[in-house]
Amino acid sequence: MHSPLHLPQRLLRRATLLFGKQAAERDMDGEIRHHLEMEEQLLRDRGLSAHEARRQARLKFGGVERFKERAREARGTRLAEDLAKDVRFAARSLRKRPLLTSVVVATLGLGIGASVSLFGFVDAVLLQPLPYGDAHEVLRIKQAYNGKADGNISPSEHFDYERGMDGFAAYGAYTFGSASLVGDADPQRLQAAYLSHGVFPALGIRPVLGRAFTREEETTNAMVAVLSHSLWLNRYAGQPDIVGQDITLGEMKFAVVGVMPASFVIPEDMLAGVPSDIYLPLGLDPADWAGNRGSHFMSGLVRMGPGMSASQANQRLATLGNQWVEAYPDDYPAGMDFQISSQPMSAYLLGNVRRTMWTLLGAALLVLLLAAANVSSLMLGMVDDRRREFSVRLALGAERGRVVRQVLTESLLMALVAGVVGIFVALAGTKLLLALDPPNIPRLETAGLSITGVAVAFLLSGLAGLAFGIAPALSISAKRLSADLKEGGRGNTSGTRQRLRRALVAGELVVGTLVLVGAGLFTRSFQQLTSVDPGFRAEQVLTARINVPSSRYPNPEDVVSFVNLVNERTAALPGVVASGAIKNLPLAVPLGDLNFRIEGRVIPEGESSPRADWQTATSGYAAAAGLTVLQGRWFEDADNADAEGAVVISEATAELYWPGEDPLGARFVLGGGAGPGSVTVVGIVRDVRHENLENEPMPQMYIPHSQFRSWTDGDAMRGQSIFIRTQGDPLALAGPLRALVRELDPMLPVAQVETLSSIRDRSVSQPRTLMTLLNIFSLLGLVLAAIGVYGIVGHSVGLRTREVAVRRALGARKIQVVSELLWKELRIVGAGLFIGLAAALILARAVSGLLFGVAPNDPLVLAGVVATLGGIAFLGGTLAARRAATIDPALALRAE
Amino acid sequence: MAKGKTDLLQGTLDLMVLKTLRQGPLHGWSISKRIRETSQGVLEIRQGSLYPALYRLEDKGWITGERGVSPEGRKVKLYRLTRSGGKQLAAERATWVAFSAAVNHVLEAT
Repeated sequence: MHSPLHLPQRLLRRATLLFGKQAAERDMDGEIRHHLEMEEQLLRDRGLSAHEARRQARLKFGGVERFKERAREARGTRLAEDLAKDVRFAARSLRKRPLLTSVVVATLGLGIGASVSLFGFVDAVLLQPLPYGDAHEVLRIKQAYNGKADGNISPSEHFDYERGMDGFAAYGAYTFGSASLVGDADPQRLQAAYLSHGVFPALGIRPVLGRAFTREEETTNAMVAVLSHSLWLNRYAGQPDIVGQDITLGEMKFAVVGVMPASFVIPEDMLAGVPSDIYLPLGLDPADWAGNRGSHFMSGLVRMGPGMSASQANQRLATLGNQWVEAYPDDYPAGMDFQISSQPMSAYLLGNVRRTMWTLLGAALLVLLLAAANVSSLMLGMVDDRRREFSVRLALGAERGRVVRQVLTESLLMALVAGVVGIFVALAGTKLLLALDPPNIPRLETAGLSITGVAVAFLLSGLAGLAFGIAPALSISAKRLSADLKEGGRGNTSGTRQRLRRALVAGELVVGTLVLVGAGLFTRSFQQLTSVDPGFRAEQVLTARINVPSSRYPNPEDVVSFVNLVNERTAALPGVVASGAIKNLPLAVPLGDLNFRIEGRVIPEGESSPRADWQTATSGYAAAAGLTVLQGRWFEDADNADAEGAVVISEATAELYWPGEDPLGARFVLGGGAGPGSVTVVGIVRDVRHENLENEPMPQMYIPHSQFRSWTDGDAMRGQSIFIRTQGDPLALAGPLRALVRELDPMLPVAQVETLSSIRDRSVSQPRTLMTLLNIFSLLGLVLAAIGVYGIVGHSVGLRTREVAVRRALGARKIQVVSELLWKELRIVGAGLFIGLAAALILARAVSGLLFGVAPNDPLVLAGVVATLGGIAFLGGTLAARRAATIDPALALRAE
Repeated sequence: MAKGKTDLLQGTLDLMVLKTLRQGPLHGWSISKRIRETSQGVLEIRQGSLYPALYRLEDKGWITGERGVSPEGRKVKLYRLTRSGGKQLAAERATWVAFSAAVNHVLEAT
């Protein structure tokens, strides 16, 4: 038989009936009453007595209630009505147990909240597509040489890429710098990105306003600029007519040709968390740069052509690299081991954080699992306590399915409320994590509670509700009905439930061990990381960045004397111990390397020349940064442009190139024709961990700022990070420093004023976030596991109150009873810990790449976790057992 | 009540209700009375079982119930045959005719 009404219409009618349920009941009552009256009237008309007519009418009708019930079923709303009844009943039953309900809702809410907020972060950081068009087609070029896996690109290499990229859709290269924006407002220091014309097409993003610069504009180094969205909004109030206007950078006028969309960010900027303000043409003139294959300072990217696979792209790049090695043996000696490959942009940007984020989400889910296990164990206890109620209902003819459904409805209702609580916890958790502000996680700031997050919250709560409700519900068995009724709600629990509860506690200890081992390992790892000697003393140092413009300081000597003047005047400020400057800020801006030729040595055929990461520094820098001079001396003011070239090398450089020799007094010539050319080693300093705290320091060398001249244009280093070592609070010097520079040059902005310790702290913020969150999770896990163990011991002991009382009455000592009760449950704890440790050893290996200076099977951590969890379980068990044993035997027996 | 009897009645009861309502809207008791009269008392059913049948037919959309006034001037629910109910009646009637003809054929065969 087909049903003529469409399903939606039918459901709609049923829904109306449900909402108008009372009206429907009234209608049915009235209808049947009318029927009976009419029939009665008919029979009376035929001559029956009033009494007989009523009797006959009822008889002919049949059982009124039975037909009503069948009529209700026929209405098609039966299931929903039952559900509504169940939910109302469940709500009443939960209100009767406020403690259980609130413990369940709170624990589960925390677990759900933690998971949902972490999901929000994973979603924002890892799952959302990168802000590039067809981002999967974008590859980052990796040049490997001299042991660097991810080296930069030099100008001649860039020209070769531009010429020889057949089959690729686009190629672009870029580097970073800064510019002073001058105009009506205060001079503003901008972070500038210098892009080749291929960068925008390679990333697949167009300006929202105006246009990008053309190939001609880029190669002729035209004075054109593309603004970032934020610069456009903040400085130019988002006026659309900015396109076509001129702006002044330094003392040059640039025509604004376009504005980028708000989502646009150069890949490196996304990692640094600081987007560039303005995009300018790279403008490398082959006439100036041809033949320069040694100064690597650009990042490169390609967009794959149609139908090209990542491995094909890699192959083409590798072939290009091999061609260069063959064509330019002097630039690429065999020992340099030069290779080109590529990496998907998503792997480059998110590869590092991926494991961190998944680890955190995993930990949050484990906490949720713990919460659910605890709740399940509570629910089992609840079923035990109420088994008389269930037995009575079964005895009165309720189907087992209905009772099971009732228990499930209760747990689902609790889980649903917990889901709502979880959403609020997630909101707070998101704020907390954003407040921790880990800067090296790209796009973290975009995280929030989305619709997906809310959906995940309810999905998790539904799953949790089912997970912790199903076992207790199914443990209700009609078979034990008579026994339960006879015992009158006393005596033993069902064996199934007790076994289930034991399994749950063991499971909780397994999960608890995992979470605690994770937290322990990452805490140890973080301690190791922060106790690493970076080679400088970060406390009580203020740093600031200046850039000496060529417009007003055209000659290198002008730059040197200005920087020296700033340092001299700063050192004279009250509260300043020392003042110096370097080119690249440690733990913030990576160094490049420079080759050199040691006098009196010949480089064997096929080996590359010695090289070291280079840094320029002023005479005051060692004292300001707190470098340790191991041998010889640091620079002095006398090491100026007129004096003989000097160099200070790091320990690692000395060991690498002068093993077992005294490098002091050794002379070498800087590569690429960099000034001062020939330098003499005057000192050796302790290694500085410049890139990050994790990695072993690279070989380094320091050349006096006053002597160094660039190999490209003979210029001095114009960007300088000032270091001021202070007696008191370093930030107190921020104002005086700004005032001093303004006095010397009102047009010169002072940027990035912050303490060296905050720079150091920021460099370890990702491991710190990981550690902090894991510790919060492990604390939650510890509390949950403790509650779990206390609960089960207390419950099983409680069930044996009578036995305990009898034994106590017969003269058993309390300690004996307690230890016997305890022993049985502690075996479970032991088993849980054992399995947990085994699982932790396997899982820890998976995250070992995130650990620093600590083995995944660190005995201290493992022993600590076993002691903590075992101790907590023992304490919980003892408390519960003692409470049971302390009850007055007479009282306990009388209560029977 | 014997199970076989309800099963037999269910389908035929639906058919009779639909047929009865074809002559115009009626309330519950009138439908019951009309069926008794037209079957000349042969089909004596429990009057109560009419109501589940009415609700089932309503849920299927073959009849609709609306509030109305009975010939006696009382407020009652009046049932009316819908268009799809009319089609259903035709279909079921055809089935019934074919079915009863077949049964007759078997019974009269010698």
